[in-house]
Amino acid sequence: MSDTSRTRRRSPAGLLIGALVASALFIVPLIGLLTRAPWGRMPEIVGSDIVLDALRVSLLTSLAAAALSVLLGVPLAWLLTRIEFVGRNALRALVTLPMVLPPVVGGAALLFAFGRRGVVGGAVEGATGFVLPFSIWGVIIANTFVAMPFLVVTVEGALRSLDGRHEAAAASLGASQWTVFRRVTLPMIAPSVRAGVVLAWARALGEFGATITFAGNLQGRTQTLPLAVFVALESDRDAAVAMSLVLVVVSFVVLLALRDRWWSRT
Amino acid sequence: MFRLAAVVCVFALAVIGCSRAENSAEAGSVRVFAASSLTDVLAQVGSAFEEDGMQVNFNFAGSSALREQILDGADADVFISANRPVMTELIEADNLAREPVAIAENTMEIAVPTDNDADVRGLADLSDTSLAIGLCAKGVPCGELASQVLDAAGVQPSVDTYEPNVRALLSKVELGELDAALVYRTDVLASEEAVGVGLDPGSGGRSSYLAVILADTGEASERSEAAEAFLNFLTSERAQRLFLNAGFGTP
Repeated sequence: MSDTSRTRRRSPAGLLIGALVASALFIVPLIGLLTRAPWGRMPEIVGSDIVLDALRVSLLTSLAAAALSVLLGVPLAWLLTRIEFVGRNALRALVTLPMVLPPVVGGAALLFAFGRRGVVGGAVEGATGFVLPFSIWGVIIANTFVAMPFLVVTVEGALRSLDGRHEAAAASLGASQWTVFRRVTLPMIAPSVRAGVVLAWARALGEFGATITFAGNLQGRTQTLPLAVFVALESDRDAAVAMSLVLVVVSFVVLLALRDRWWSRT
Repeated sequence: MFRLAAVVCVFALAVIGCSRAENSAEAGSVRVFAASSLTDVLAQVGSAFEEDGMQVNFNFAGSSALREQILDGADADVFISANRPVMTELIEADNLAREPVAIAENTMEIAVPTDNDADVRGLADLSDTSLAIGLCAKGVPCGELASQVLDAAGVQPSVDTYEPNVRALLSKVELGELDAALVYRTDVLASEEAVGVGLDPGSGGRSSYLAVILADTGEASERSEAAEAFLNFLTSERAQRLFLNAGFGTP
């Protein structure tokens, strides 16, 4: 008997069956998409203005949201793990709320806050003339709102499981808190930050509900690929499937490339 | 861990089981898929219909979204579209042998927030680039009618968002995020936070709501009878008065 058959016999059947069913859940819908793909019209649809515009808006806003998530999310994760303050648990729960909330609710809440007649939005428009809804900035805000929690949760987990002795040693040698964070903490949690960025970017790329509610839907300005797919589903199903495939290919390639080089190397 | 998974499974199955039981009890009810601009009036028509011991359930969305749901196998007994093209596409794609019935008519108005801050007075203002303007997406009946109305008036609108259905569009006007949007007259009448800027007579376009029975006569005759009863009720004097009161035109 060969080695492989021996290991196969040892693997518990229950786990294997679960894993197979789980894999099928992800593979079968993809096959469904592929069987509906309008291969003949593919080049024409993918090269069309609508798709190119949507792809550009999608990439731009999801990358911006990923960048904002790092810039703001890492400090937030640091605050949640390294500083004791009243209401820390409440804030921690609040930060993960967008992961649970229907994105449409998030979009409506953003509108009530940053819309022209919102709590903050009105004052901002009065002072600067700047209006968030129906602008590409609105898309970026909506994307960041739903995506940042993924980074914060990932980084927070890494910070909490970090062995505090390295940071303590650096501090005892006279390093300031900022230096400790920059030279000791950050390099140690770097793999988690990278994983968090990828998760946040992926979530932002697929974002739909908060975007259409807060930022509206206009080709070339706020229409991302998911929005374009949604509109096309009702008017031109071939185009909708083709755009879905573009979205699948883009995200699959990026996730595949990053997973090996960036992500799993913890 | 396993215990937790088991508890979740049992709970989920129990919920599914309960809703199953509920469904079979409602076998005599009518499932109606209707254009979202009918949301308010059909709620009234529905409760009037239910006074005779019948049951009706509604699924409201953009007509074209509903058409796709039905073509994908959604279980609907009656479909009411907000214009003829969507209905024709469904009938052709589904090989329906039935003739749709006109049940009401509608026209368009400009909806503005109650205070009309931007001082919108007519269709020409929709081309003002400094205003936030919304329309329904192309392909949705209210979007198609809106572009007919604008074309007829020779107005090139400066659009900030194309919303997936008329209710989503109206709610952005009500919130004051949009300065103006082209919606159905009846949507403006039903709204408490938006008012209408009337258009010149005849320039608001005209669309017909069409209803058709989808229920299979052979398979579940009980349901097709109920569907037939509902369709008859829609054109009855009582229902037509409700449509009139809500601002719809009679066919």
